[in-house]
Amino acid sequence: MPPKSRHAIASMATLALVLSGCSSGGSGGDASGPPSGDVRILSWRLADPGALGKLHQSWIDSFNQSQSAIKVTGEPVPFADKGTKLVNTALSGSAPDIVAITTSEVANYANYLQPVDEYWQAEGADFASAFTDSAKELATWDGHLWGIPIEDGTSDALYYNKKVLAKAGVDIETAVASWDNFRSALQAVKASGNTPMVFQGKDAASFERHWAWYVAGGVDLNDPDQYVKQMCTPAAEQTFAWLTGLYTDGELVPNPSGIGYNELNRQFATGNVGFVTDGPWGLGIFEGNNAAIGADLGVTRMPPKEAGGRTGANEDALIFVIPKNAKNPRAAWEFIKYMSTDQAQEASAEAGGFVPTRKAVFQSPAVADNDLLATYSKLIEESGFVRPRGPKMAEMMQILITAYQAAVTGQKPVGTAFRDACGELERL
Amino acid sequence: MDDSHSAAPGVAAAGAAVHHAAGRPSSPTPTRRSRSRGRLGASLRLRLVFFGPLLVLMAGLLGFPILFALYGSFADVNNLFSLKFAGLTNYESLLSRPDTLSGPFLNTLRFTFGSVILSLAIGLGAALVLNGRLRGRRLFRSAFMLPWVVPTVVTALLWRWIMDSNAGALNGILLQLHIIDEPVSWLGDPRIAPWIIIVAQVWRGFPFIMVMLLAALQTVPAELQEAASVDGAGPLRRFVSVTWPGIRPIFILVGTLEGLYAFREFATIDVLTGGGPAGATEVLATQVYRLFFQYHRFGDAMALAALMFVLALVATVFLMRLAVRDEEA
Repeated sequence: MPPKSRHAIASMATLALVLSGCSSGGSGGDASGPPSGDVRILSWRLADPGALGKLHQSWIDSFNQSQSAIKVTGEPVPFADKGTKLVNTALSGSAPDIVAITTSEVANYANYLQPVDEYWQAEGADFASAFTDSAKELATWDGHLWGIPIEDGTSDALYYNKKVLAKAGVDIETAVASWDNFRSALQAVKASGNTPMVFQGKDAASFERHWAWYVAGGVDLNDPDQYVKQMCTPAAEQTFAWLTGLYTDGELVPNPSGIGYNELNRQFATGNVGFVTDGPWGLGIFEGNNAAIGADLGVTRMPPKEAGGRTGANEDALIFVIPKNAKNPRAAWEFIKYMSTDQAQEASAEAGGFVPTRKAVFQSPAVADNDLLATYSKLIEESGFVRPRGPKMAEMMQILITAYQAAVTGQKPVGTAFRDACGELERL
Repeated sequence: MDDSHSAAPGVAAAGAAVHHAAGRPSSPTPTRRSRSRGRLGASLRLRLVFFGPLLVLMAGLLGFPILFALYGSFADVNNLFSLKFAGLTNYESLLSRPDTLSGPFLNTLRFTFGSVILSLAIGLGAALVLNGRLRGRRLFRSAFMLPWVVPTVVTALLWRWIMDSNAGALNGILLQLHIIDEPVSWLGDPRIAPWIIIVAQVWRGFPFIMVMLLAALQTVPAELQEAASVDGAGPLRRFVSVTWPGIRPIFILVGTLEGLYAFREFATIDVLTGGGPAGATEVLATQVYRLFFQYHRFGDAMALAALMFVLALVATVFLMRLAVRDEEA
């Protein structure tokens, strides 16, 4: 062999060795032995500068200290970018081992994830029975379990400002008895010189705050295969018209087309707004905008359409999932389990006011003694429904919010906007 | 001016060789011909040495991604980004719902033409003012550049804050001046929002045009202006007959560039309105993003991106030819 060729082969072999040594960052462990190796977790919670972010980071630290076989590294990602990051890393073959998403997003990203039914089964019946039925339902899509959900919650509770209502002479129990009563309360607040309510309608994500009104209006959103059919029923059209009317009939809410989540929080936190819907995390955000507002706020259920009727509370949780081409899924599962223990969920309930997904935690002081959490737990128990989800949900919500914006801003008559949206939904 | 005077020695030698050959129809002696070839070869090698690395870099950074993306629009990318050839499937899927494209296409045209026309008008006006005798001219030149040096997303966030329906600066001023009674949802109104994004784009884009046109204005000989004045030409006549011919090629160039920037603009629109309300500000660029990252319809997104590329290419070639023809004239 000529010296040049030998030299080239030797160089390539060296390069291959070097690359193999630093490519995966861990062995992934022996498939038959106990899980070990490096685990990389991509989580928006780690990007949270508040108590929850610190809590999630502490889980990584304590897990790493508790054993030496698995080393977890956290990577913070902004909430809005988590999906893009998951898809990009999955497509480029550099997926992390764990990604934090929400349970309603599982259907969107199922193509890039691996089901974890066998891990659940391997843990035994006691492990599965420790979780609430609704938690398991949230983690299930297309007949498979996709991870372990924690930090359950709903955004469908009604925050009200006691001072604003008092000035308008509004009694909260009467106000939330029915849609008609609620509308009268909004009118009273308007007449007293304050803003009755802020309502989101700026982007597709805003539609998550609309679902509960549709459920209260008589739309059944329990079967993903029936979403389109249900959202085109007369009950849905009446709800669409009612929600549109909150702006068009006397501006009981500021133009929702310009209100996204940040605007919603800022406006409500000014202290001159009567109502807003938000999750338990909302309180901290309002106080972040206006430290003094907490004492003025109360929280209750949303109004049913008719007195005594049903209300809705769309339920969604954080779920840790394992991408399809994760390098170390077994070790990833071990850390996912660690983040969903009773102790971890008690800490989550304390730090963020989230409803636990393990039954035993409901008895803990962190949950039982927390009034805000008790309100949300009751709402989920009585009115909870799985937040609508599906592979085409992003398009569906875009169509619905565009129709809503068109009707609210007078681009189209309400009926036309609704029918056009239904036409588009049926073509999906 | 004779090109060979200003060109690099190698180029001049090559040019001289070509001229020489053209000027003498009879075959040169073999010695002269081989000397010319030798010079030509040396010149080519020199060019390759200087331009080769740049060409490789451009092929890698520009050529490959463009060709890859164009190929991707014909591949089965919906299947976890498989690169298996799929013919026109993606284009058929994209064009099967023309209603989802017509709105963004018309919005793109409005945004592009609106922002280019306004940017050119303001940029030209500012350049003319700064080219004259103005006290504090240097200060103004620097101040006008500010919007251009600020990152696009920061500019967009700034405009979002100004236009905020609740705590926005514009509403605050108008309320204090009693021009409005209650806050206006500037970005929530489909009749107003498209114009807000145009204003934001113009604010960011006009300084570049101003600087380029200012440079062009400074190449127009002052003697010509003075001669025209002596001949009795007024300001408008001087502009039309002296200034405009001098800056027209640059005007077309910056107009084309600004048009391209506006055509593919994403950040400003995404931050300000996200394509809403009611789709009033949804443009092709935001539609590509939505198709790709939100709906995961990769094939449709790549087909639309490829169509955008072709449209931009055709428009650029047309305008550049116009500029070249202008220069030649």
